[in-house]
Amino acid sequence: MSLVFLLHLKNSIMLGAQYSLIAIGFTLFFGALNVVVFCQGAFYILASFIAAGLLSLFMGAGSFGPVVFGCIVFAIFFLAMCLTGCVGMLVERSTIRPFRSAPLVMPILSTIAVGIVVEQLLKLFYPQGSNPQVFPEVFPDAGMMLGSLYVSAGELVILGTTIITFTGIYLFLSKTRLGSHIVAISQDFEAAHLMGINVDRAIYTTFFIGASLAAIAGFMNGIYYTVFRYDMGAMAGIKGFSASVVGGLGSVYGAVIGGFLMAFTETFAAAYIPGGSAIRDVFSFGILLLFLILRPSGIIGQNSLEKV
Amino acid sequence: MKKNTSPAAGFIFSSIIYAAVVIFMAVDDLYISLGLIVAFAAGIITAVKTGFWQRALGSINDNTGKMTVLAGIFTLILPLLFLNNPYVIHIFTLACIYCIATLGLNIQVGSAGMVNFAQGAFFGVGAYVSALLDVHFGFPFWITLPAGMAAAGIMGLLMGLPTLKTREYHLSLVTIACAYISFLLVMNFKWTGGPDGIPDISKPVIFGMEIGQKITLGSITIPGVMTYCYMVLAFLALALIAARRLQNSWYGLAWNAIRDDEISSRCYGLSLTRSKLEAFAFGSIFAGAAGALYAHFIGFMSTENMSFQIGLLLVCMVILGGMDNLAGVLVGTLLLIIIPEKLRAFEDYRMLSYGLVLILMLIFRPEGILPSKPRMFNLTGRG
Amino acid sequence: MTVQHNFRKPLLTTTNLTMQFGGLKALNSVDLSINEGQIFGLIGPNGAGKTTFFNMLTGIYRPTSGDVILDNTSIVGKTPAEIANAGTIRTFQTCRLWDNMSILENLLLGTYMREKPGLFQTLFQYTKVKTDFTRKAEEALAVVEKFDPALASDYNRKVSELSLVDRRRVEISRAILARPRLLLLDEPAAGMDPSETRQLMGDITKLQERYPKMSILVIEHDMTVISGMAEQVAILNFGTKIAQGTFDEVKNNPEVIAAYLGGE
Ligand SMILES: Nc1ncnc2c1ncn2[C@@H]1O[C@H](COP(=O)(O)OP(=O)(O)OP(=O)(O)O)[C@@H](O)[C@H]1O
Ligand SMILES: [Mg+2]
Repeated sequence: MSLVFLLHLKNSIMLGAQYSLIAIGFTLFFGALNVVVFCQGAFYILASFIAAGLLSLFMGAGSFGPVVFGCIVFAIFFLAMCLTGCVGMLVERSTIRPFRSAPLVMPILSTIAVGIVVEQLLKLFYPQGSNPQVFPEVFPDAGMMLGSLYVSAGELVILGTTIITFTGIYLFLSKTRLGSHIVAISQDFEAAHLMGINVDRAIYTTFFIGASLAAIAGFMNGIYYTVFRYDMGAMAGIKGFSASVVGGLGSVYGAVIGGFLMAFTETFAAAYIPGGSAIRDVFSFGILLLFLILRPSGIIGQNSLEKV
Repeated sequence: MKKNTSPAAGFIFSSIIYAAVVIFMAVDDLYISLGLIVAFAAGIITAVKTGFWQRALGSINDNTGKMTVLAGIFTLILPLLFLNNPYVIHIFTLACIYCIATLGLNIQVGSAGMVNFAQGAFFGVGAYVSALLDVHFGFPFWITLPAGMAAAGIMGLLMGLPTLKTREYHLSLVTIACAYISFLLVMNFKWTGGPDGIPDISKPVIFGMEIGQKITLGSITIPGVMTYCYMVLAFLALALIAARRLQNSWYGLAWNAIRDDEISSRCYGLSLTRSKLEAFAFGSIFAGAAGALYAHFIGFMSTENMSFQIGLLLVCMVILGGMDNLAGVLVGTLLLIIIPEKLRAFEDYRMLSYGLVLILMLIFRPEGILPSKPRMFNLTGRG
Repeated sequence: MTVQHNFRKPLLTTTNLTMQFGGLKALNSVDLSINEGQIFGLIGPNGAGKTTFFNMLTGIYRPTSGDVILDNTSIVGKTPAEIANAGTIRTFQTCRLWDNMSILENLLLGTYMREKPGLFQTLFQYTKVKTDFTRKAEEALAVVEKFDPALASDYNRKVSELSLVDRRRVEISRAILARPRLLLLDEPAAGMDPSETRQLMGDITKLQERYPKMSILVIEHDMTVISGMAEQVAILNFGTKIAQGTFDEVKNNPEVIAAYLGGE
């Protein structure tokens, strides 16, 4: 395999990890409440801003030993993630819950509006918010050779985080009580309610987790591309939603598969089709449209019959 | 259901609103504009509190014929009031062009319940097709306009295809994807002018007279934008008639039915495929017409005017005004074009306020400024 | 009191009709035949598969196996709209009206399948649309008036504001306006008190007199309700048809008593 090919492969894995994480959020929200939270992208970009802001504050504060430095960096990421998760819960409470029994048009619009508001707040009130932001380089400038391919420390961290997060989600949903409550709600909201499951708590948890996953994806974006901007969230969110639809909305595995499929298509089409890189999004949306025409239930999803 | 309310309340009400709009448009100063907005808001709240608002709306509803004539006269006079201020006429013309697009969008969002974010793209298709035919081939406006409408309609049908098996979220996602795809393609094709857009689009010509040219009649000069404004108003009137007839016909009933209950609709022989495709095709034809009118009005078209944000803005206009209520759609569009124009100093906050207004609207008045109502039938000898 | 119409040909026949939902067999090899102009009762306890049976007949679900013949043609695999056009119209157990529309709009849409003005007339000869609406509206109101004159005079009211009983009346009127050959009523009396139920059943019997060729298949929970009107009844239990015959024949069937009446 040529080095160029390997580079594209690496790129698509990095991108696929982000799409998958965002897509899992969509899938969890959809499972729990039957809503699509169009502001997932806002969580993603908000987290990048929080993390980048805190990190540069901290790095400007002085020099530390490598262990202390590593711990604090980790703590900052964790804090940024939790803050974003809390914003997620806030969004649920303020702009999704009021529409629980309203026509589905309402939450579509309200979450899109929340996305706009978050994005604009960042642009207007974050220092230099309308300019591209540099994500602080927190990982050592080292790496390893995999054959002829160089993989940096940051990229290894991204890979590791992806695997840990996927495993964590799997264990949480299958092994913990709260996780099984979330699964129960996604299967039958009414029944779960009747069985005495604390539905509101489970839904808050879902939003905390979903937004946190978007936050992790946002960090990855910052670490890998080092530059980000306030308006990158919307596109990331829509790609993540597309990925979850391609995979089968409602299925966590589907979200992972869909995320990587979209990333591979996009990266390789952009690389090997002449003039493709300028219109790379056309390819990923093209995949989405193909799926919606040929297999609207996605790769994993089944066609469920609406009860009449 | 008898027509017993006198038209007086509606007449007074419309005149007040009209005067308010004229004053607002005439004012140049930012702070006075802001003050006026506050005053209008206070006025509306008082009107609602005292019951005058409801009385007036009831009176307008019961005298639709008279009120339509009144609104027509008001609208025709409006440009004349601003003979010395072509900029205001310019903004008003723009607003009317967007009204045509939102009337089309209302078919999908309001009547059929399909939230379509790609109306900006269809606007763009109409504009680009018309502009390219004009700039490259020199076709007259009266050929490029229908061509633009047809192209937009066909694109609408094409986008309808992937939406057939989808509903709600998936459907909105399809329209978002289509909006981005068309934007990116137009941006990257060579023959569309790419990021540079298309300059020097010519003005329409009627009977040898170029519309949008300054006319001098003795001592009076009529600004060029005025003639274009009247042409747009003529188109808007046609669009309004078409939208109204579609709404109050079997088409409109079918769209409302599939919006309210797809399964029930299918069990009464409605074809979802047909109704959805019709809604997309008709709606995009309106957008195509609006796009063509826009391109030839400004003389320049670029991808900025067909972005996803435009589609989003159009949806906001429909929601704000009132889904499935034609008067509401017009009100929503005028508000969201004219107010931001007056508050240009806060240009940076425009998107933020759209977002906030949308959230507040959805929470506190989801039905919009003028909510939709069932079609009122007046059957003689009944009721 | 039931009259035999043996000379009539069957309108609807199902053979081995089966529907499987995952591990649950909601319908198990059901054979049923309904003649033209017959009122047929379908009874069974909760979850017996009655509504599922309707969903097969109207094309909302595709049967796992078996066949549905309407007037000598199989309708399996056809869309609900095609089946409606072939003359099968149903009501829904949960009463599915178009909620944001008025009584009259709902009723008018019942006539959707009939001849109506097309696009050209809508755009350029709008008076034709108006006259068409007026004519059909008069007819619609005449139908709903039979059930409840108040509904007919309040025709611009939104249906979401109506009481459950009125909603059912509107739904049945809407179905009749579609001029069905086979009318499927899913628990039309659910939520009504005994006198309202009696009135409704009387109205349905009158319907049958007015449109003698129309067949009516009524689902009922409580078999005494249709004892007076249905010529034939079939009993479903756990997806299987356990008995069929006139009400008097069925009511003494020991299996029926065990499965159904036994519980009461
Ligand atoms: N779409 C579906 N998916 C899965 N199971 C279903 C579906 N529809 C119906 N069922 C199941 O099939 C069985 C029969 O349901 P059905 O609604 O036909 O019963 P019914 O006789 O109409 O009962 P009721 O008197 O309560 O209306 C039930 O156990 C129900 O849970
Ligand atoms: Mg049932």
